[in-house]
Amino acid sequence: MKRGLVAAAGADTPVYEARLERLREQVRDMGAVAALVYGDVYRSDDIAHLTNLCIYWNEGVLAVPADGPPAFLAKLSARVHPWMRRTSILEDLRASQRLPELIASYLDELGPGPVAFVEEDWWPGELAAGIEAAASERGSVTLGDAVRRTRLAPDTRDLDDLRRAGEIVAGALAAAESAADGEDANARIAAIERAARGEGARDVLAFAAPAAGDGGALTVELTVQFANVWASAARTFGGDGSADSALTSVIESLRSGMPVPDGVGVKVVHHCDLATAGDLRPAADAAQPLSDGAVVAVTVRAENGEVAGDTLRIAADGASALTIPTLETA
Amino acid sequence: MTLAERDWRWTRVRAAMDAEGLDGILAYAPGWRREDLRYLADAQLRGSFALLYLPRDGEATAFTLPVDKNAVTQAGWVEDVRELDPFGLRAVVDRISTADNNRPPARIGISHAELLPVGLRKALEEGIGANTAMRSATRLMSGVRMVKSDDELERMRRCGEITDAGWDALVQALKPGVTEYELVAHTEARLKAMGATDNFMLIASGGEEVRGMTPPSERRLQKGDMVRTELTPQWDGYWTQICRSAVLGQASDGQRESFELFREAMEAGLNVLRAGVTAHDVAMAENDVFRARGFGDYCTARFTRVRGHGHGAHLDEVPIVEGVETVLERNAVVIVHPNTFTPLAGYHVLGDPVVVTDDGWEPLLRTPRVLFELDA
Repeated sequence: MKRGLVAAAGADTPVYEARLERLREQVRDMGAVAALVYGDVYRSDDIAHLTNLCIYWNEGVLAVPADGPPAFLAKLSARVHPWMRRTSILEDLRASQRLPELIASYLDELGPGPVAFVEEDWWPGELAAGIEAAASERGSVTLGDAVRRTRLAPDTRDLDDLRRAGEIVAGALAAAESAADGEDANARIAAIERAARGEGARDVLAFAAPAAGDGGALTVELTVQFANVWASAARTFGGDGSADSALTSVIESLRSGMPVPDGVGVKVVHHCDLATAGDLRPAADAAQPLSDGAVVAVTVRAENGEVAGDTLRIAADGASALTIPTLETA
Repeated sequence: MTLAERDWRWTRVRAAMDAEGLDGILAYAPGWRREDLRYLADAQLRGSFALLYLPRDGEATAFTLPVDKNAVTQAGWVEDVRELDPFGLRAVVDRISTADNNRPPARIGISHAELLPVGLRKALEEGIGANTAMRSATRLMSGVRMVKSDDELERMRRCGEITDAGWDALVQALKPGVTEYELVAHTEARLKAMGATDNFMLIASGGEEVRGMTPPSERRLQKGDMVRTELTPQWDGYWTQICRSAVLGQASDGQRESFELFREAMEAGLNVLRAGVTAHDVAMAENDVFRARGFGDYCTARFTRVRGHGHGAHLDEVPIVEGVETVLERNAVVIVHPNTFTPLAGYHVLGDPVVVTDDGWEPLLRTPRVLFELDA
C-alpha cells in the first residue's frame, strides 16, 4: 500500500496540462463529452500520470472533459480534498456515497454527448453499469488503453523520474546485499524498505524467497514507485550466477523494432505496467515490437530458480539499464 | 494452519450459504481486497487477482495467475489449483458449470462482486449466466470472517507485538529535522525485519492546524510538533493497528487537554464493549464523551470517518459508527479509536485493537495509552 513520500505537483503543472490535452484531443476525436478513468489504491497510475493525485485508499474516477479542467469523483470524504488539492493539479473534487449518480450529475453539467471509458474492461462492472444506467440517454464509447499507450515511451518528466526510480532500486538492492548473510529474507527486505523509502519511494513491492535447490541462494525481486513511475530489478544472493548470464544475453539482444523477447523464463513488462506486474496488460501487447525510447523491466528466471532482472531503456543501438549503479572512477 | 482450521472456516461459510440459499461461493480477490481468498485458502497472494470457488458440497477450486499457483498449492488447503488468463475465465466457467453433479448450480454468491471487472463479469455472465443466478456475497463473507478462530487470534496477537514494535521504532526516530517520509522508512524497516508482509500507515505532523492524516510529505519535524499516526502492519495474513500521538518536547496545555478527552472517550468505548453489544453502542459511548464536553460536532462526518472498526484478514472490517447495528460477537477483533479533529490541539489519534470477550475484551497491544512527550 502507498505510504511513502507524496510530493506536490509544484512547478510541473504544465507537464500535466500537456498530458491532459493529449487525452482531450482523443475525446474530441471520438465526439465524446468526457473521458472517465478509473483508479483504486492498487492500480491508479493513469490518474497519477494525468494529475499527480495519489489514491492511497479506496477508489475513484477521474473525469477529463473534452474542453476544461479535470475533476476527481469518489466516495472518499471531502475531508481529504484539501490534501488532494495541495498535492495534485486538481481543483474540482467531488464526493458522494452514490458514485454513479455523482458522475451522471457531473456529466450533465458538460452537456449532451457520449462518455468515453478508458480501459473499460478493468472497471468494476457494477460501477460501469451504474454510470450507464444513470446516464442511459448519452451512450458510451471506449478509449481502450489510451492513457497507457502515451506512457509507453516516457516523456521527459517521466524519464527523469524513471532514472531516479532506477537509482533507488539499485541502492536498495545494494543495501539488501550487505544487510545479511544467507537466507535472512526479513533482514534484507527491511534494508530495502529503509533505503528505498528513505530516498523518497512512494511504494515498495519487495519479495524474497529461497531459490529452488539446496544451495542456500536467496532471490529478491523489487519494484519501486518514485513519484508516478515504477522501476524493477531482481537479484539472487549466494547463487551461481546462472540467471545473471542469461539476463546479460537477453539485454544484449534488445533493440527498438525487435519483438518482445518471450523465451522460457523470460518476462518483459513495460514500466507503465509494473504496478500490476504486467498481469493486466492487453493481450495484443506481446506481438508489438519494442519502440524506440520504451522503458521495460526484463526478468529472467533460470532453471535452478535463480532470478535476475533490470529496468532498461530501449534504443536503436541497444538497451541501457536504469537499475545498475553507475561505477565511480577513482 | 491446519486442515482442522480450514474445515472450521469452510463449515461457517457453508452454514451462511445454507441460510441464504446459495449453492456455492465464488470469492473474487483483486489486488487490494484479497481477504476472502486468504480466509478460504490461507495463501499469501502477489498477483493482480485470483478467484476461488467453494461449493456447498465437495472440494474447492482456486484460480490464480501463474505467480500465485505455488503459494496456494503449498498452503495445502486447496488441492485443485488452476491457472487463469485475464479475460478467459474459461477455467472458472468450466468448473462452475459442472459443480452440481455435472450440472450448473442454481444460485451462487460472489464475494466482492461489486469490484468484479467488466471483462470478467461479462465472461461469467456469458459462461454460466443462463443457468446460474449470481448475486453479491460480500456481506456474507465479512459476517463470517468477523468471528475469529483460536488460530486467527494467535496470529493477531503476534501481529500486535509487531505493531507495538513499529510504534517504538517511530518514537525512536522522532527528532527535529527528520522528514515525515524518513519516519515512515524507519518504521517500515522495523516492521519488515520482524516479518510483516504489508503495512497501512497514515501520518501527520504539526500543530492545531492539522485536520487529518495522509501519506507522508517532505515536511521536517519541528520542536513542539505533535506527530499523529495510525500504523497497521500485516503479519501472516492478519492486520492490527495502533493509533498514537507524540509531542516533540513538552506537550502544551491544549495537547494535554486534547489527550485527556481522547483517553476518556476511548475508555468509554472500551467500557461498554463485550460480546453482544453493537457497533453503535461503542460509537455512542465514545461520542457521548465528546458531546458532554461540547465537542459533539467533531464526531460527525465533517471531521472524522469512524470511531473504530473491525480487524482481521482485512484491516478495515465492520465500521464502529452510530447507526451501525452490527452485533459484535465473542472473538471479534475491533479497534476502538475516537480519532478526530478538535480545536484543542488539531487532529488527535488514540486507539487500540482488542478481542471481544463475553465480559469485556482482551488487549492486543502493550504500548501505554499516554501522550508521548520526547526530548527535542
